Amino acid sequence: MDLELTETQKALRKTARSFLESECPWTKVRDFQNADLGYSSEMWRKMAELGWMGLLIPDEYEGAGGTFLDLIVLVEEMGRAVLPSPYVSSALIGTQALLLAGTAEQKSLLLPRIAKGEIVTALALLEANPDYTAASIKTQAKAAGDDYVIQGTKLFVRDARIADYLICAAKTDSKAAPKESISLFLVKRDSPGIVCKTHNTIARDRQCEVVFNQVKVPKTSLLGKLNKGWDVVEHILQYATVAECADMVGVGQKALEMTVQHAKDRVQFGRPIGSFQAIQHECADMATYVEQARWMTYFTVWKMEQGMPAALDISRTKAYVSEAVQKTLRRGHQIHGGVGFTLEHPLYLYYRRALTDEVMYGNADWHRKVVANAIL
Amino acid sequence: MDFSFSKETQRLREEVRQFFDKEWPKENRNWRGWEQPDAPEFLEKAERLNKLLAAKGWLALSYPKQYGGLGRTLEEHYIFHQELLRANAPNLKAGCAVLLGPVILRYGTEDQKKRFNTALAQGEMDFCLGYSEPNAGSDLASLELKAVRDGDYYIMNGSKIYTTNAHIVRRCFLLARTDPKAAKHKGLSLFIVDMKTPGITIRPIHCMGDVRTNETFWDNVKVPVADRLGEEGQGWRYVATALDFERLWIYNTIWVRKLFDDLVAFIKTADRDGWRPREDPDIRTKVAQISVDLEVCQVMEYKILWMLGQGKIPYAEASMLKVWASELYQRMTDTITQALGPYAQLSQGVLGSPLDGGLIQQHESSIGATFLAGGSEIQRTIIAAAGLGLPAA
Repeated sequence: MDLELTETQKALRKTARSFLESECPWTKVRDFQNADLGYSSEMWRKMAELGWMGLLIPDEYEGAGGTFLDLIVLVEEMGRAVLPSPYVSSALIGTQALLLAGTAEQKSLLLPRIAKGEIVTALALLEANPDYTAASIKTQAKAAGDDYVIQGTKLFVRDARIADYLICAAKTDSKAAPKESISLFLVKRDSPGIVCKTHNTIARDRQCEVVFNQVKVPKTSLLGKLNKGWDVVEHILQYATVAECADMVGVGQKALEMTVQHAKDRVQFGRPIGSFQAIQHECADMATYVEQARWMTYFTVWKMEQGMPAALDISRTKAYVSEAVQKTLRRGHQIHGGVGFTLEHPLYLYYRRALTDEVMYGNADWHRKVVANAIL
Repeated sequence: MDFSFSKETQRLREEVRQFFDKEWPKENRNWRGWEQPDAPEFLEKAERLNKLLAAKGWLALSYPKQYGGLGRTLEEHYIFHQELLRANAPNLKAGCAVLLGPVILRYGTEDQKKRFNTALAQGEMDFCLGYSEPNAGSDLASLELKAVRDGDYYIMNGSKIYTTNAHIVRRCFLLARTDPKAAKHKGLSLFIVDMKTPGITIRPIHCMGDVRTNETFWDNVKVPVADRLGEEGQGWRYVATALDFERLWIYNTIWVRKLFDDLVAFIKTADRDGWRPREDPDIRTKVAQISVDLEVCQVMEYKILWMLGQGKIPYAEASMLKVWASELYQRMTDTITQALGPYAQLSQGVLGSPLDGGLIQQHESSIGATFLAGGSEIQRTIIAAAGLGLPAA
């Protein structure tokens, strides 16, 4: 047993923290969110120069050949800074999908460009019934000569507006069982027939409705085997779910630190409010939640890296972290009182980020059902 | 990062598991017996098992060889203890060896290590804890039992409460006031007192969950100076160290998980005239949450175990685990009790009783978990101070 981060991971964390603290203070987060694209393309370039985009991409495709835990350490820091960016969409989800299912040609065409930060990918998965099952996919892709024609509407597509490629899950067999009927397509975002509209979400995180209206894509854009796309989706969802947890750990950690500092500084009744046990015990619970959330995440990441069966651990972790961080933010707001409710204080950004992380990739109830079905 | 145990540790786990399967078979394992460690029949079986464990050297796995140990790692000792608890085997002696033995190894004299650690390794030593007093519970440092130096002896006068197992063990870890003038934390010393010394009387106190504890009265009890642990006036520090070990080992949550697994197995098969709790969606959700929370405990135990192995003291982490595990123990027994409805209240020997009365006994026992060994409020105060640096109240 060795629960230390590697020297590389420690260095990555240090670099990321100081980079994000100087480039992305919370007032800038607000500016980025209010800007048209929702993120800073200038910062994106700098992040690419740091080698972050290709963290999971092997050497042969000009990436850094890092591990999943390397990326998790980085995503934790991004959550800590509430950084708006398509990082997970591209450097984790798109990258994993290509590594797992891409042809040699797709990989050599796209991975080096992802690694350089030149292109961004986004996952177009959810639809009107956003339950993360194959049965809920109604979008269809019909073969027509050398092409497929995609028709349907995707919802909650993070980063679709700024993406160069969408990874779209569509039904390619109307008779087979749902899990045997889904295929994935790599679709150029600017293909004729795609209409993209940004949802106005609580976290201002540029999720989109993407309408595919008779979108023609060449057969070569099939990502993975025909009708076997759901296996790939399940695989990348596992990674995305754990990354969501790491983001929440970062969010919770910063909210904890802000709250403890506030409790030390804020004087009422002639003493710092942090000297009251009513406040201390709330802070102790916040610290416990965040610590436990972090180690649940690392434990699950370790199992995944070892290639052990981890589906149940992933569900336990998402179920725990979602609620633990939500409770941390609630207590943080309670201790901050009025000032944390204003938009002149960063806490609201953390609350909103935690909320979106909580409901995406299956909320706690969704994952509890997975656990219940496994043990009962 | 690596959460795996070494090959040697995994081999040891397998060996220990097989040992318990053979020497502490299913018919000895229930959810009531080890809460009554003084029943003569149980004591006899426990004694036999302890002799076998001592012969293997497992009681003192991580002690240095010169004190009867095998010089193996803390990790291995932890795994042994996990398997012992998983088998519902008696844990009084093994628990003393692992909770209190390390404190003697750390602060004891050569003579004390030879006398106590060697005896612990041989399964011939056990302790009760003489910490709490009728007027000193959460505010432990205000305790009053007096120890007055008289030549080569101290003379003890006062009383202790919740001295569980005082009537069956050889020695008592006794925290006593040696300097009434010093600040309250500083006037305390720790002794390892022979329970056969004249002047000690024991009054049983029966508790919920079939737990028996005691009140002990100390009337001019003569304790040799050689039985004082470490320096005079440092007792508080030694007890704090002991408590940090205790929070990890007492809440070695494997047995809470074992209890949960047994209860889940009961729920899965419960089917009485159409009553099938496993099909109720509310029950499913709640049981799943307990499974999540148990995993959290296990991961935090790994973290603490790793810290201890690195020579770090997990002040805040140990308190986090204690709060979480004890509150979870209650949530778990409560959740299952609600899930099983009227059947949950049945005691031993009634048809349909969950774990033959084990559930209701554990349910009651769990009431104590959140206040013994430092209540949840004390633990949260420790986390706030030691972990977060919040100012004193």
